[in-house]
Amino acid sequence: MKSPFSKGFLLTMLFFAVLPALSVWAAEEKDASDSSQCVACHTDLEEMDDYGAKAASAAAAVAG
Amino acid sequence: MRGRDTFGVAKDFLDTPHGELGCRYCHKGKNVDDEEEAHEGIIKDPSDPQGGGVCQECHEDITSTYKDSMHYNLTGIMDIVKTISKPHKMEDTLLPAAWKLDCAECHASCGSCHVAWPHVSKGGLIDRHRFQKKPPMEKTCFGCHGSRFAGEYVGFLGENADVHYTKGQMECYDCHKGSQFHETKPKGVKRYYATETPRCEGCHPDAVPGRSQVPMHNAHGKDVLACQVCHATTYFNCQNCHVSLDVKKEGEIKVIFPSDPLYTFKIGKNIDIGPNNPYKYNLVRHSPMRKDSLASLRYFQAVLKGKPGPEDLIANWDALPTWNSAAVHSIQRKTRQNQSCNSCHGVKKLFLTKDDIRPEDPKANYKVVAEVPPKIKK
Repeated sequence: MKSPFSKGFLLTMLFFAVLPALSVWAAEEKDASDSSQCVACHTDLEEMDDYGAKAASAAAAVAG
Repeated sequence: MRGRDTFGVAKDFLDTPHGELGCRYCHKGKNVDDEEEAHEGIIKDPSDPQGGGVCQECHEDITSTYKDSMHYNLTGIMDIVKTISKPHKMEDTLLPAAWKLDCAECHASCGSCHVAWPHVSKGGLIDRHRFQKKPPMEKTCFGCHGSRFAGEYVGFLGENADVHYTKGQMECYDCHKGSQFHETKPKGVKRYYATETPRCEGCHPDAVPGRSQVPMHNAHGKDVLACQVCHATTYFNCQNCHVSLDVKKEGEIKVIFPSDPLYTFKIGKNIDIGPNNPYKYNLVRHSPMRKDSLASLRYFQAVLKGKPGPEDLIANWDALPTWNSAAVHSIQRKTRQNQSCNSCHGVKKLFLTKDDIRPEDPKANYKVVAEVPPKIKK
């Protein structure tokens, strides 16, 4: 007996069911390797000067 | 040093093969705006673990040998510490902790040459994280070897700079090739002078005794004198360094400061003759060690573990000399001792004699003592 759903119809349904999962997975993958915030901060040299000054003063406090 | 010089990253680095990997590929951490959270789980030097860390993924050909190299595992220092502390077991003392805190600071990861200043120089990026295929000598090599080799090579210490530096403008890598840093050969050797290192005759084949136009070269014969014996000048030695606290008396802690630097020139007997160190006589340099150099560990062990460590931590002190073969880097063609035969023969002050050995020195120093050759009668 012939199925009431055509093969094409089933594949289309499957595609739309999987698509959201794929995009969530892709977003997670992107997040796992994304370094945009690190780059933004570490390439801002003035920001790094401030960070360096803070680190130096923290070290000085430890050394007395 | 400004913060940007320590932590700042060049934008153009991001377009290089290493930069395209993204910070977190190697350093981990989190991609968030909050500074503290961003640095959670950060790996400061991802190239360090097992002698290659993340670099192994692409550079396995180098890391596979580097993990066993002397620059990474400091075999020489470890062997000395183990030998002079016998019969004590390292694990019964604070030596492993001291090793981790102090000695191991000198070991080099891939990154501490190719990306950042060495650990012992307190790190910081060399050039905004741009990878240095050929690390800059004055930052990388001098960062660890500044107190003696580098100091004498550029003339900060001793009588003069090395002629290879002043006239040849040569950098460390002109003699010391990357392959020698990345792999210690032969395997298992425990001292740098036993390794395959640059040989003067590689560039000066006509200086080899027996083939030389210089009569003095031929007169001494093959493998008798290291080149430096005739061609180096006064050099720097450490005598009492690495000494911090003297705790010989219970409850009394005395801080000992290093003595004045010792500039000297001493020819000693080579007690480590081997294929890569074949000479009968070498220049010898005093190592920065004395019997109570590690005495403070007993005090710290008492504080940290409630029970002091072994009183005679350096129980086997006499086994190794503190005057050791030295590759002095103050080379000159003409020196005080090579003017004539009798500029050296019969000149006691040029040789390590019994009078140079201090009572507190290890007995092994006497093996290095050289006999002063008699003056040549014309």
